[in-house]
Amino acid sequence: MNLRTITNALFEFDAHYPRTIIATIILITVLFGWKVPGLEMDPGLRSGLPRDHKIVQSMEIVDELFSGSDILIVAVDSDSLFSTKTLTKLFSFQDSLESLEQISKVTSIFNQKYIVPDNNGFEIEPVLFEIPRDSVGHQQLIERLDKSGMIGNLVSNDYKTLCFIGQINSSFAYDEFEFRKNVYELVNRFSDPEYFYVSSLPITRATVVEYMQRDMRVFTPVAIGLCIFLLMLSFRSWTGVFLPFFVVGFSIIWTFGIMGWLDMSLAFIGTLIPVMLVAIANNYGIHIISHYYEYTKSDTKASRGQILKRTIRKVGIPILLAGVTTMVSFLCLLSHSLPRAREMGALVSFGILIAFILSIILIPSVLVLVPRPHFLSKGVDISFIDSLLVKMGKLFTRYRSIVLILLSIVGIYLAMGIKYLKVDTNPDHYFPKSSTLRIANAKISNAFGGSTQMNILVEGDIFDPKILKNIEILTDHIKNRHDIVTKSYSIVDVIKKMHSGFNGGDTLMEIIPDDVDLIHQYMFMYSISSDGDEFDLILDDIEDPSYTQILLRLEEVQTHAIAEIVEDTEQFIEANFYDQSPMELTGGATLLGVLNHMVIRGQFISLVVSVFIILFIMSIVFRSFIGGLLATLPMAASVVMMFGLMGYLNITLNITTSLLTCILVGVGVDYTVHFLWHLRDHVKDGDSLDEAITNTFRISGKGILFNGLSVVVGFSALLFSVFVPVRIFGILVMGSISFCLFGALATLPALTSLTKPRFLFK
Amino acid sequence: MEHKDRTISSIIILITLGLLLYAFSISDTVYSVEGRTLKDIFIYLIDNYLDFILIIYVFICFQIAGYVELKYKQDFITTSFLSILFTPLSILFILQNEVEDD
Repeated sequence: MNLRTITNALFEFDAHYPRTIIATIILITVLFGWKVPGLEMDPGLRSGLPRDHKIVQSMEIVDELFSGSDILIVAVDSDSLFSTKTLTKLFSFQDSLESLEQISKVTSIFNQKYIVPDNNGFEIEPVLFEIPRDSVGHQQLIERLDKSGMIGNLVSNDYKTLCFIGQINSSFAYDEFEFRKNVYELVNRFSDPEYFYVSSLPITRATVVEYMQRDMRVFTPVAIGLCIFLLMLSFRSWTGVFLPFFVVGFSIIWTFGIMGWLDMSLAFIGTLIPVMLVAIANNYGIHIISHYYEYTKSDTKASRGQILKRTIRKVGIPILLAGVTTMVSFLCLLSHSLPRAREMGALVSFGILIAFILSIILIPSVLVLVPRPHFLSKGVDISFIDSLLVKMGKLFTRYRSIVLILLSIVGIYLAMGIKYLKVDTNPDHYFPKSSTLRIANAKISNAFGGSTQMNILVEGDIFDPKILKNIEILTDHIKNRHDIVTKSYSIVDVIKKMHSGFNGGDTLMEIIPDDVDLIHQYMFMYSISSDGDEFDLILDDIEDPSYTQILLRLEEVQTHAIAEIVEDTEQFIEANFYDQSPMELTGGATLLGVLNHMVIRGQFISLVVSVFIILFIMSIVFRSFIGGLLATLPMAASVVMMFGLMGYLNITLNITTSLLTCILVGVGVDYTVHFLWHLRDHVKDGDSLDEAITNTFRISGKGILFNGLSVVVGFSALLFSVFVPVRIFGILVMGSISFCLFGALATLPALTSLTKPRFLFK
Repeated sequence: MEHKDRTISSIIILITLGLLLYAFSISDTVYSVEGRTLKDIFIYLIDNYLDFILIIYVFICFQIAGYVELKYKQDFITTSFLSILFTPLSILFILQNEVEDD
């Protein structure tokens, strides 16, 4: 059974059982829709991570041994920071912060202790015995802060800002939204007249997810509204507007419905699914409607059935090919390292498959039942667009060499911008500079060296001087090599201070002692003169630890810098400590840095793979490598040009934007497929190549144009995004889809007219 | 063939309606109107679902305009804008008057 027989059988089924088909689709939609209201959002990090990744595994160890690897920093800014009233208020804030469910420990001047040398060795004393009531007490407090080395760490150099560092008790197993809500409620209760600044990677993540949800609520209706408006102008009829629209709506419901039936949750990345489907899923319907109208106009006496039969026979295979290529581009995401990206690839492909099936079943069933728009029979047509398209075709074939040279020059120039393309996924940069989040992060970064933490997990006999020295060497190496690392804290700092204190505070003795028993003795002395919980974050056991962690503070979350630190540190460990106790970088920021690069690299690979698969499919379809190349070239060139343009405009590539490039590959090839398929059809019907190009523009040009415009208009909804890069990327996708469209409507006529490829005449 | 098509589709539509009624009856997310005045309900809907209300309104307008286009052979774009501006039902009344005048 060949494809033509299938399309005929399909038409017979559509023509004889239209009401049954419509009713069945509605019933299935209700069944799928049944589970949509119960679909759960999953903002958690854990479900989206590759469980077998070594950083994820080490984060789980850190969670178990110490606490979570993320921190919360609250900075308080006041001109009278050390007044009795302010300190009393902030002491109360510390208590409230510690009582938060997600916080395991809070570090601030209110509970910090420091080592004071004395005749018997050293004493451990709190920085703040009691809140000072007079100027003498204030002066003593400032002196103790200076001595303890807390200036620049917990109090800013100008003594106007003080910070609280909260250790979050888990890396994954908590609700980041709830955490953010609790923190802000608390801060709002205490703020005024003091200014409070909150910064934490989990809070930034939660804000990003919340804004994405808000974006989805805005995007979907805006995108649908704009598409409806465009379809109204294009087709001027209910059938032309709402049949593709219903296909989109049903495919979105079916896609979310299947998630519900399979008990899948909706991750933040899944919020992009409706936008993608709105932009892509109406394409097939647009081609059917466009050809149906064109054939009606060209043969007003033919019955609806005859016109439909002709339409399905002519557009069935090209829209099948368009659907398959789009699905291939998304299915390539199955090789992605992130489970959520794989899931999205599969779900969008499912949505596209449904859109294709509904387009060839539902749309003809409705068209069989309803009368044709009356303006078609009146002979009033959209002749302006028709004549413009035909003139374009003639222009591009007549001046083919000039057109091709000009396009090549522009293409090469834009493609060269790719060398300036940067990868950066600093979540802060998603927000405008004026946003509260960025202001707080900048403030904390300036005063305390940042709010993001990287951890290095060390395993072994921790009090062994050799291991301690390795920790010191590694920490010094990282701090000297990477400017982004502003501070570090580890057990080595404490032992060195104790050793110095034991030697009368001699700074020259601030070194790691060689005697392991002495170190044990120091630790014992420290534990008896303090509460004993000071080392909860850095030692798994105070007496005989087998794990410790080094904490590194980062100025900001620059993922490329983090990735560099990880790579350099791994090389350093491998070169210097390969036969010694294991040390590995871990923590949320480390994971973010490594994963982002992994994701974007994976995305590039899947892009290249999908382009080659599409080239292969097209070569088989046209039974010619040249045919495959012609179908793939405009799309591939557009992708490269888009990346080049991003490079010139200094727009960085991040996870969201790299995922959206799938659309470009999937959709970009549609226009060329339709053009080449119909061109070959016209040549087969006996037209000369130039006549065939003109007829392709006349019959199919409008479908291709409206299809491209609907994608551009659909993506214009991204301009309403809260995120700066998404807005910019919206413009870029609109631009690059226009490149693809122009590629199909300008490059292909010029190229085919110039080269006269043999596959068109087979 | 057409009779068979009508019969099967009617059965399927009945099943669909039954399912919808069942879903509505077991839903626990339905807003409780007990003890609330119409004004309260109106304010609640405006406060929480204004965007949805507007979308549904425009959607209904478009469907009525589509009906008018296909049934009375009117221009879809004009009818849609008239429908959105003057409420969808008024379009039917306008058309009804036109038919009577003729």
